[in-house]
Amino acid sequence: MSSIHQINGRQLTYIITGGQVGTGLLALPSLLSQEAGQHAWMCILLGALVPFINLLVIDKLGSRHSGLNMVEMLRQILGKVGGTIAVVAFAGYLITSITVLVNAFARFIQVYMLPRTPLWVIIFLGMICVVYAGLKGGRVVGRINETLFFGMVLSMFFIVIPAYYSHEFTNLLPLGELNASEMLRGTLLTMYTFAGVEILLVLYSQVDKAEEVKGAALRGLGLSTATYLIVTICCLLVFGPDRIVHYTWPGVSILKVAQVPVIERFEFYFLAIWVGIVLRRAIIPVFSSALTLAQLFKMEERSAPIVLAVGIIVFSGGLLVPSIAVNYILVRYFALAYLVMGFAFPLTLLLISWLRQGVNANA
Amino acid sequence: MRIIPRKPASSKDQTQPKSAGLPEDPMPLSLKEKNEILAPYLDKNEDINKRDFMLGLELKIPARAVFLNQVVDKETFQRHVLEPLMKYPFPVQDELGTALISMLTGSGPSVSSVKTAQTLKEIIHHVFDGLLVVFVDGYREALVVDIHGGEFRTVDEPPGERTTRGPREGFIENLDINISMIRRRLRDPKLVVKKTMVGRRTRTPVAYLYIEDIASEEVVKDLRQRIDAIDVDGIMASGYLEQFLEKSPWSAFPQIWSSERPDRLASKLLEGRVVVIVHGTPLAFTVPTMALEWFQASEDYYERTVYGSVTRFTRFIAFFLAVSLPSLYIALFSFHPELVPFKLLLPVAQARSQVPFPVIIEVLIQEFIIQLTIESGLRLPGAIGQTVGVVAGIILGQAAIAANLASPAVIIVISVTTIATFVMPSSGMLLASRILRLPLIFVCGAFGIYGFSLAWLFIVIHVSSLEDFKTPYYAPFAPLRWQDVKDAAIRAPLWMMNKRPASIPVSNLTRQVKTHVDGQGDQ
Repeated sequence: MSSIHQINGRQLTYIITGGQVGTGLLALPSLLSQEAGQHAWMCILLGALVPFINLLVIDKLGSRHSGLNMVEMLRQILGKVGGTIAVVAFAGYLITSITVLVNAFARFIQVYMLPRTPLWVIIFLGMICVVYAGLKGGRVVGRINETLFFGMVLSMFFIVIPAYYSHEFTNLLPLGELNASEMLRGTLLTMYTFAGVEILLVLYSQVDKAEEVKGAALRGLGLSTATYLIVTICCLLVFGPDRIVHYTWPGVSILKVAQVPVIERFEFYFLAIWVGIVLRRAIIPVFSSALTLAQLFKMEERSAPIVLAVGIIVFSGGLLVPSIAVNYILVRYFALAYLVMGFAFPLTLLLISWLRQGVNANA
Repeated sequence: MRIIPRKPASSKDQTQPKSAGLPEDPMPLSLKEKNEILAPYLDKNEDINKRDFMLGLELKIPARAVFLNQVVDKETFQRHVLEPLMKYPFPVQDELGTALISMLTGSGPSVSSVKTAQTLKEIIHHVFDGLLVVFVDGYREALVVDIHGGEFRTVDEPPGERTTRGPREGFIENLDINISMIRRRLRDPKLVVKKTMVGRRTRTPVAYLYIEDIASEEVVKDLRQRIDAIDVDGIMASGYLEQFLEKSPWSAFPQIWSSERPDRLASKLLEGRVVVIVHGTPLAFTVPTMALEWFQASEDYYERTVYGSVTRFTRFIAFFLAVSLPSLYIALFSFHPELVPFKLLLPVAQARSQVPFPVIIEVLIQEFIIQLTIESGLRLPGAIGQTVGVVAGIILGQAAIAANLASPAVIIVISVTTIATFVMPSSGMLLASRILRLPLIFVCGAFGIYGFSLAWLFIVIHVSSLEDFKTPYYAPFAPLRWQDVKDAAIRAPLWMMNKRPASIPVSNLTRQVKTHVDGQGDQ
């Protein structure tokens, strides 16, 4: 195992959380309420089941192929050619999915902070931090996530405080009027938000103690589920299911509700921290995809050119999405992509591994 | 990252530094020949004393003593070396060598060590190291006597780290005295002092100290290898050595913590660190180092927990303000005035309307002036330095406002920033905050609060990536070590700190047994 990419169990927890919580923090309550009204929060709980199963599958897969990195594992399961193709496809999936996030992030910054600054400048500046972190390796990515996790916890207070002052519990009622198709659509949307757990495929071999992986990853999922749940419930409590759909980013709009002397506007403080939270969401897949490709080309210790290349691709891809509306459409497609590459892919790998070596055999 | 050249530690005598190209020939028997060989090295220096005399009351053998002026104690030389050598009734010439050593060792308490040297190289080095060298006609070996003397600054309160409680003793420029100050505080036989010399020409004595059953062997070995690998002509002060040892020379953050206070260094030794003292510098530094150390002051531990914790936390806020306040001001008033409370915005905007510069230029001018003031104040003598401070702070500030060159808000922002800068108990992080402030001003001037967040994220990534001597620089925050957090942003009661810092490699983690606060103990 490469020591510069080694992380510990606690860092994995924060990476899993960091890999899931990003722009969804601001937009998800609105998107979910469009599908499920006041039951939006239920979709989060249901949606969390998918990454929960996903994590268990990846953990099983990793423990069966312990000591192997992702490239070695895929080649062992699918053969050299099949494994290589799968590695490239997975890295491609990670890279393209992150371009959507980067675009949404940049558009949000443009609207709220820098209306006259070109989109490419905003993305470029953000990517400098993302690539810089990627260049430093997994150990540093783990440490950054430890720090930024507490930034995320702090930002939660900014959302909870307005909800405390302006909540209306009847906004969550009536319960139980949701039909199955609405629930399913809402859950599918949530799944994109929860996309990010699949990076465990890459990171499994980088964790110093393999026995800690399952617990750490599940704790990470629990933390991100709790985060989304808090934000969605707070937004519903303040705006209600009818009004919330008119906001593109209710996660920020809620901050305008509370008037605190001197501080005046909460969103300033929230957004200052949120920039770090979202870029953390970008750092993890960029690093993971670069590491996967570096493992493929046996450049694990000299991965700088690959990190730079991935950064350039994400930067260019982030510019291609023409509007926030298109971005939201792409989000729905990427929810499906997550189901295929994030969920079905590891499951298929596990099945093939079982078929080849038997259910109980350790590969 | 700079690659530090490493080479394995040599098994040679640790006090022997790298040679400056002197011949290793044995000395001749005759004193006359010895003088001729030594002449090219000694005669051109007028600060070298050469005292010829006749050895022994009856033998009357020609001899010569060679030493540096003001480095060897002249009185000791005359009373405890020269006089006995001339008047002692040496028995027979054959046993003179042994008799000389035993006689000098017992001649008086001022003679700390007596040894012999055989080669020209050794002898020349001993002379220039400040030792007394005695040559005797008919003997190849030269007698080397350590009677260091000369003038030194007295032990005084360290000017850069004053404290209201705790000892008022600071290091001076003498290595042995500095070591003794630590020894007096740590009377542990496990405290190891190793000496070496660095610099081919300066031959600067360097000592590293560690407690052998606490400090990590790997850290000590790594440090020794790095010091041995330094092949430079001169080391003028500890700062030179620090720069040779640190791994990321281009980082704005200091990576080796230093102090003028022996009490602080003793506490660092107890934490498992290795202390390095360089002769000629009233400072000592430790490795491994964490960023947190620059926020810790000795008073935090001498005062009660609550006071120590509040002041510690204040320092973190002060550092944030020192780095960020001017840039936040620019971000708010250039990009996001809507975020400023209306009652605050109005007077600031009114005052600013008179100033002909954009906010960033206004801040940069004031920042530049304050940097000039700090620099001039540091170099000038005390009273004049204070005058410059008053002139710059009050008169220049008032004049700038009156001339509409700066708004009162900017003066306040820069003043608060400067005060916050000097809250740091050690100078390393103070300088870092001054360096980091400038890029933040530019980034916020261009990209507002987005630039501010990015800049801080960049700083967090950078400090998270720093690591040396197997110790993460940003610990215990990242990687998170809950055990060490009790002495991080706050300072927990001393009786709760049962373990040494887990963030640095140590061979013995237990600091104390579990003890009740009432002092009764539970075991």
